[in-house]
Amino acid sequence: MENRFEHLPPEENQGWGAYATPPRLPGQQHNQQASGPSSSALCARVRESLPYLLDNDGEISPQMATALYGHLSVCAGCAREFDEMQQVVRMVETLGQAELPMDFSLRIMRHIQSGQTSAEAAPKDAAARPFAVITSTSSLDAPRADIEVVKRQTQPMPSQQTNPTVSRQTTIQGLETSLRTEQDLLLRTGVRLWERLTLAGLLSTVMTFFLMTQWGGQVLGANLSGLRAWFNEIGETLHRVPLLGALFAVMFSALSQVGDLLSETYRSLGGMAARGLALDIALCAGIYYLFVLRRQRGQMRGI
Amino acid sequence: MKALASKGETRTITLVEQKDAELVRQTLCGNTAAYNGLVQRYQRQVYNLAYRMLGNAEDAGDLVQETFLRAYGALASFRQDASFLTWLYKIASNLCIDQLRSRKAKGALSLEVELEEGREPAAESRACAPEDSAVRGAVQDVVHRAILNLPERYRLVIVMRHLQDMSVDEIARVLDLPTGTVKTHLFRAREMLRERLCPVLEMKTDGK
Repeated sequence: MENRFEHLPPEENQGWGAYATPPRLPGQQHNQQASGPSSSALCARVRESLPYLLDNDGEISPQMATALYGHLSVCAGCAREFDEMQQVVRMVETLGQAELPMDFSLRIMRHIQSGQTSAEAAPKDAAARPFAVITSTSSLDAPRADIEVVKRQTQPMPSQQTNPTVSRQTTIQGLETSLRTEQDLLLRTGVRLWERLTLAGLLSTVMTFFLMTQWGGQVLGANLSGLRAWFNEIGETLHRVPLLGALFAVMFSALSQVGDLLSETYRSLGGMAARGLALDIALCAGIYYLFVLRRQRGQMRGI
Repeated sequence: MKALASKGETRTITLVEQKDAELVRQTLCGNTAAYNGLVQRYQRQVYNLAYRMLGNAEDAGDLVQETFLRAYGALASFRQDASFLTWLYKIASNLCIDQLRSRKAKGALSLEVELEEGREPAAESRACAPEDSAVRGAVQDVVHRAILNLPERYRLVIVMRHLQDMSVDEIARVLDLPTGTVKTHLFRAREMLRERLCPVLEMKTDGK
């Protein structure tokens, strides 16, 4: 949009603050200035300009802005309208941002991975054409809901828009299975397989160290007795409050019992048991990952 | 100062766009995980647009998902002459309008009824004292409904300008409209909102 106020020489706009010599507002004719427009006609023109003043994006020259503010300082009606406009914008702006669930991106990525598209978007012959082809007439022509969307591609390369034969498709899938499995795992958890295994190993080592050395046992035991004392103390305090206090007291005393039991168990566990526990954890992690990998491979073949 | 600030802004945008372009390139090369980066970066903006356009969290979530799926499918057609977010907004706004039209065509429940029946509202981050939040929540609810009652195009423009903090030029690019038309839409939308929010505005003025 052209600047409607550019043609105004700055000197014509000076000294209008007191409403004595109003500047030409959009649509105002030159000859009107001499006779002096009625206040309602002036107000109408001022009100036309208020949205531009509110946006303050260079559409209105500083001189014109000064003039408009001058009018607002003496005209209660226009000032009220401007104030309301500002309030509306503020109210909209303070609506705040709605929050998404934490794992939302995973949900989207799972859909992309599993090749699901919305029911209405997938045409019936989708199975015969495993690659997505969304026609777009220009670079900015984003796909509309009514544009044909063929079933999403089975390999993650949107750039290839050819139609492979079924046998070729199978070969590509076979080749990509291992890559995709790794990607799947990464997408679902954000952690790579080797990172997980390293972490599990490290945790097992730390645990073994804690459980096998005397010092570790002492630290663990001391912590647990400290915890028990703390629980008891809270229980005692809360016991003074009727009903709710009693409930909490029961809960905390149960927890302190658990603490006791754990402490005893750790003390009675020998080095052998500790080592066994660590090994168990590592073994479980290994079996779990093997199982997950296998299941995912199976799923890949099943596509 | 202004020039410096605007320079800084341009540089930031370029950096973000460069990162986006790299992620797009990686996705096109077969690294699906790179797309996850793009989803995480922009899902919130797209969701907020959808939520304010459609009025409930459930539909908004579905629309965000559909937007990213379509963007993924059409990624090869994305060129670098617009930012990735602008492109996403374009897809999302088209989907929003399509959905609103299909609602109308199906003669589905009016939005007002849907709201009355208490479809799940989205969780909003409100950084204010708890005693304020009840009043604030009520006002926000009124504003939210007033926006939902605007015609589609006006609603889009208001949400993009004042909630997504987009410039008029950006909106014009997303909606394929001349800047002047976007401004006219914006002014009319604000005027309609002002009329509809009159009681709240008067309440606020009296409160002062």
